[in-house]
Amino acid sequence: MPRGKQTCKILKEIRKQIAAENDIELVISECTYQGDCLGTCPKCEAEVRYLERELEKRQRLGKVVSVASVSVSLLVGTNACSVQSEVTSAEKNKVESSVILEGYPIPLIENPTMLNSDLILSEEIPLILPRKPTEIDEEKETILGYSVDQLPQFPGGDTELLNYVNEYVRNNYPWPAGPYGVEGNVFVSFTIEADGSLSNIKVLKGLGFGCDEVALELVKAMPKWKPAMNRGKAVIYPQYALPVRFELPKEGRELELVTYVERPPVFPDGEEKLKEYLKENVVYPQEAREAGIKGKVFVAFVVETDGKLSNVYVLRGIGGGCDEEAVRVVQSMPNWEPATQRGKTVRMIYMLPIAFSEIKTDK
Amino acid sequence: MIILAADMTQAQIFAVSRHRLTTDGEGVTTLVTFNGCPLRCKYCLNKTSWDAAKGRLYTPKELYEEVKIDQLYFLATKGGVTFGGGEPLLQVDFIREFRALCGPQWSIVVETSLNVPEESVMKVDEVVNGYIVDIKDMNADIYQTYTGKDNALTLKNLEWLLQRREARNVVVRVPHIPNFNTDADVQQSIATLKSMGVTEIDEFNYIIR
Repeated sequence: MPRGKQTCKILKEIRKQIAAENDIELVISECTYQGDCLGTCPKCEAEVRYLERELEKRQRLGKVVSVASVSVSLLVGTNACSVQSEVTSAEKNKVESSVILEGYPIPLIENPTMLNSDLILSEEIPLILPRKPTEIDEEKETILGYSVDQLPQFPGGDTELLNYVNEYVRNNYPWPAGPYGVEGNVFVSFTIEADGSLSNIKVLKGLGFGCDEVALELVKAMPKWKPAMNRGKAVIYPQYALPVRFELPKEGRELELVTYVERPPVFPDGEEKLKEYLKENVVYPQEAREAGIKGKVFVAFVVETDGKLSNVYVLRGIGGGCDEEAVRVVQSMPNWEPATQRGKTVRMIYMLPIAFSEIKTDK
Repeated sequence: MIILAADMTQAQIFAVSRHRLTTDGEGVTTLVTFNGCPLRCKYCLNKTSWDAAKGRLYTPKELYEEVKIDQLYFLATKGGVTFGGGEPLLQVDFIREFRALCGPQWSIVVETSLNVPEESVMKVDEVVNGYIVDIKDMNADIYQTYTGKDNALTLKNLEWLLQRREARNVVVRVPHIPNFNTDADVQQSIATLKSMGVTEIDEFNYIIR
């Protein structure tokens, strides 16, 4: 079946399901459109508009409207035409598919990896700031909106601000960002009050590895600013966003720490032995068990050139005593085989997920 | 300071392709391809994107008006818009403004090389649901030979992403590239990616006709 027709069939199926979910009468007739089908046609489009109108009607009448329930992969699976693909997947994550490089990519994937669409939007971050100044609230003497005559200023101006930030970072480079060679920006947002003091200091977008905490401390330790001015009056300025740059000193780096290598570090005797070691040594803490806490603790560490593990850091923990247990087990491990790049051993960061869950036994 | 003016952002788009099914993320998606890419891959699928003259300029609003016709399918199937190209992360302001227009229910996926400044990834991460990353090869020399650029930024951005979000939202595609990498290279790339925490790995072949 040509691809256009296949798409049309699938979209029709989706419309059918939406109609069925919401008790909408939809007359499904066979498509009589002749010629090259692109997957949609005026009749199909009209059906979509009809569905939208019917759904809106129901919403206005206070009825519950349900739309997000159709699984496309199931539809693609049942309607797939026969294609030449080499799907050899035994492992869950391995799919063999092909991309033909001249012309448009044609999907040959039969079991596509599904992306989950959970989206967490940080509500305090405005995506678009208004360009025109908005009303002044006379009672509160604040400006609602972000447009002012004069922006707030760090004492001494932008050059002094930059010096302050760089000096602070240089003297307080965070752990384990230092040993891990982590560099980048932490975006901190804060309010500059009408008296120049800073409040509501928080991380807008962090970097992790201890950098976020240092960036917050840096801002909290700042002297008062020159406040924003509007119409000759000092006013509050909310949500000033400051990038705090973390950059490692270029000189004095004796051991180059790399994060991608030809041969990654290995637990003595291989991955199976690592799994066994974890099984035998990880103790599921009572506290976590009782609280129903389970999942994976992501632990990172450096494998030194002699195989010793150092700078053990919890990237993402789950609490209940599991994080500490994961660190304990990693620190108890024997030396690993270090990573190699072009025949030389190199230091490398390794990230290991350690699972905590009830294992059902037959006892 | 982060300031965006609503009707000043524009981007050159050379194609808007409706009703894509599961190739570019979950559900029914519309693929929007931007012009402009920092890489010059030998077997690029979309060399049109290298030509600044192809396609036309859009504002986020114009694009939204054009793609919202399929909103019902997006909501019904957890689909939405996939930004590709070219390199979509050269247009992060555009994407952020687009999110403000389409709302939180649409899925926004980016097909990217991640070979962009770190600030770009951080800025766009707030509004994106998922990433599809064609990593080419994890070996720096092979990557340089195939794309003409080094992959330091790609790796930094990938590490950052894996730390900031669930690994299930970052799909890394690892291609067998004829004449540029071997089976052993590909397996090595996969092993390294796994050790970084990638769980969604799509191993596939470039077939040249």
